[in-house]
Order: sequence, then structure tokens, then C-alpha cells
Amino acid sequence: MDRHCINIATSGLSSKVSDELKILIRNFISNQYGINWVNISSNHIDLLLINEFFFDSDNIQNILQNKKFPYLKISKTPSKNGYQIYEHTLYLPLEKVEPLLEWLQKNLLSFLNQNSVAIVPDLSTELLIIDEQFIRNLHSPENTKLHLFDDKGTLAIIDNRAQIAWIEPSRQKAHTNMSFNFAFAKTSDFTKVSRKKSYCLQDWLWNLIWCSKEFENLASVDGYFKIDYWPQPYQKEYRKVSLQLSACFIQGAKITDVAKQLNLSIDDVLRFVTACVMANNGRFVSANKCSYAPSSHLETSNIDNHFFKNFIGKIRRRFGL
Amino acid sequence: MIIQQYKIVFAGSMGAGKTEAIKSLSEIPILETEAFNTDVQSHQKTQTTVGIDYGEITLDDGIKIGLYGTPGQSRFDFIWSVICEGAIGIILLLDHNSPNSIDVLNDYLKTFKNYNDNIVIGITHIDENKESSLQQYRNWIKANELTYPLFFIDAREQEHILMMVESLIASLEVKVGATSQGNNHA
Repeated sequence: MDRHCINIATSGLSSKVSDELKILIRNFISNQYGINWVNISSNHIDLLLINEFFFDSDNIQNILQNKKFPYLKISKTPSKNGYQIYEHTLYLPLEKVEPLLEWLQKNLLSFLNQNSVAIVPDLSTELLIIDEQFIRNLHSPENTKLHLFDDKGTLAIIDNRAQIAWIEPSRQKAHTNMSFNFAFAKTSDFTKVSRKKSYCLQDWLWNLIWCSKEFENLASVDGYFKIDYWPQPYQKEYRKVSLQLSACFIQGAKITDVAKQLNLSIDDVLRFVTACVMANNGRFVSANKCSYAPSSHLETSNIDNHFFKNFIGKIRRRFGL
Repeated sequence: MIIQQYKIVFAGSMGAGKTEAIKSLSEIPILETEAFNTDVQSHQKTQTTVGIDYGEITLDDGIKIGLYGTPGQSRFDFIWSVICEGAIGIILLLDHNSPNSIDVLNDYLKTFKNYNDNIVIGITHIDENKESSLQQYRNWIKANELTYPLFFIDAREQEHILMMVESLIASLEVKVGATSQGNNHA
């Protein structure tokens, strides 16, 4: 997949301001380009966001004279003339996003359309099937800090010893695709993620893959699978289905039985299994290691079952579950 | 003490957030029985529950579900079995700051699974202790081949508590095969 990628550097900004701007910009141009958040020392920069107080320093001026790229100064002093952006300076707080979006369109996107942009290498062919070695390497304690990325840029840096992930701020509700890959994290990669909050690595990975529709066909339909623990869903929208899938697979269950019992498509169940495998949670097992029995095998009277379903339905309605 | 036919029990260590969790769900002001904490070795909070916290929710047909918080200190363990009898499930909360937190979790589980095996575990105060790994809990669950859900939560967050309630429900649904209808695909 050929996808243009923009390199944006930030310098001298607080993590709060930086994160807010990253999310805004990501939302604005996510469908057109991937974004790499890079360091000011990077060889290829398409846009610089810089604290106005650092703009006149010799170092910055040298960079700007040698490499011609657009810049936007960020000021925390309210604008004197009422403009949100004036002479390449963005005045905070940001009350309207339109001036920023217009500035980006005029100074960055049109600039990029006239010039060649960096092309992210086509990674999709490298990961047609996520094999066991890939997963072992992803979780190996010897690979302490890894940079996870895809064709839209950085996703996170993970620490396999501490079992945590630091997320690229604009991709907190991220999904990915078959270009998902990793490499040893370089010092410069750490500028791309926010370390204010760390996430449980296995849960974050599970949520990432579960939300990624391309990860459906990497597990065998006929298999039996058993998870080691219930993955923790981050979003309410898929909480019900993920908890029900967990309740089945924690006992060890046949994939097709679960799909039938929960009235889910086989693709959804396979994506759950793939997300668990990628998060290093569970394994394919033999049938005799499974204790999940579909309801048709249970001796529950219709009256009891009806009462129970009705009662549970009321609880779900009451809590909006 | 108000005894409802249907109930959800909040159990666990002192200071883990049981009272806050009930507050986040209850539709009535909860009946609290707090007193000055004299057991500062176990937890530094100034007040703690010495009786039973009680909250409730009402279903659309008027059925009430009692939300019961057990006192954290083990000297009140005589009351635990009474509260847990016939409960929909038990939400077991554990303070990540507790010294020997795995041992504490083990002790609570050993006790409460005798009363009711539909249990979900919530590890709380996770941001206050970054030195101690969260992974230890998952490793322990795996090593002991336990099937209880275990989540990392903030007891003040209603959505986190609802996730735990929903996991209790999901366990029951799967157990009796009440899952075959109504799933909106993800």
C-alpha cells in the first residue's frame, strides 16, 4: 500500500499542548496522510510546531534556513488583534479550530501536493500471516523496548519487562492493519509517545487488534482455544461481546461452538482469538482441555431459563449494558 | 439490615474502594457505617466501614437489587457468608498498594469462593504504586488456572464498575446459555 506520510516535529511545547495539537492535526488529516511525529533533529521534516520563545534561537534559525519547511509558532499569550493565527503564530487557548485547519491546508497540505513527500515502505507484504516467531519476538523480554508502528506512523513504544505501553497521543483509540510491525526503539522514537500515562501492554495490544478489522482470518476456524485471563475492553461499544467471548474461552472452547452460541460471525470470533494470540494471552488446545459446553448440552429447564434470561435482560436494561 | 432477594456483594481489602463503587451505582444515598479507622497499619485512610454499606437499584418491574459492601477487616468475617448467600455475584476489590497484595487476594478468594463462585476481581489504586507490577496479578491467575475475570480499575469510575457487573452477568449468561440472542456485532 502506497501511503504518503508527513513528518511533523514539535519543539519546546509542554506535553499537554503538544498532545492537544497532535490529536487535532491527526483528526484533520488522518484520511489523507499518515503522520510521523519526529524530533527537530530529524533529516526530513514537513512541518515544525515550535514554542514562540525558542523560535529565534540560532539553532532553530539555522535549521529553518538550511531546510525550507513550514513552521507554526505556538504562543500562550492571547492574540492582541483577535486573530487565532497571525503571521504563522497560533495563539492559545484554541477557541476555534477552523483557522488552524485553514492554515494547515494552505501551508502544509498544498505545500506537500507540490513537492514529493516521504513514502512509507510497503509493509503489508511482510505480514500477510502473523506467525509464531513474530509474536515471540514481539513479547520477548530480551527485546526490552520496541517501537510499534504501521503505515500511519507510530502506535506506541512498549516495554516488555515492565509489561507497559506508551501510546502516541493521537492514536489512543487506534486501530491498525496488516502493515503493523515493530523494531527496536531508538532514542528519537521516545519523542513520539506520551509517557504521562502507561497502559497495561497486553490489554492495550488486545484492544488494538480487536479494533482492527483486518485481523480476522489468522486463526483456524476448527480450532479449540483457551485464554489465560479475560482481556480488559477499553470501550463500552464492544464490552458486552468481548466479555461474553471471554466467559466462553476462559474455559477452553471450540471456536465454531462459541460463534454459534453467541450468535456472532465467525470473523468476529476469529478476531477475538487473533487479538488474544497477539497479546500473548492463551493458546490453541486439544478438545479435552476445554470445559465450555454450549447450552444445548445443559440440563436447564425452559421455565428457569426463560426467567433467567428475562431477569438478566432487566439488569442489562437498567444499567444500559 | 435490609435483605433483598437479589443482590451484588462488594468485598475486599480495606481502602480498596468498595464504598465508592457502591456509590457509583446506587440510585439511593448509600447507608454508610463509617467510623474512625484505628487500624492504620492496614490502611492510612481516616475512616472505614465497620458495618455493611447498603445501596440499591430498581429494575423496570420494581424488583430491587441490593448492593452490599462488606466491612474490609477480617474481624467482621462472620457477616460475609450471610451477605453473600444467593448473591448474583461478588465484586472483589483489592488495593494495589497493599503489602503482599497477592497473598491478600489469595486469602479473600479462598474465603469468598466458598460463598459464591461468580466472582470478578478489581485491582484499584493502580496509579499510586508504579513500583509494583500489575502483571503479577495476571501471572498469578494464569499460574493457578483461575477463571475469574481480573481488571485494573478506578472504583470511582462508574463505567469501570459497570464493566465488572457486566462480567458477572456474562459469566452467568454463558453458564446457562442465555447468550444466543441480542448481540450486536462489534
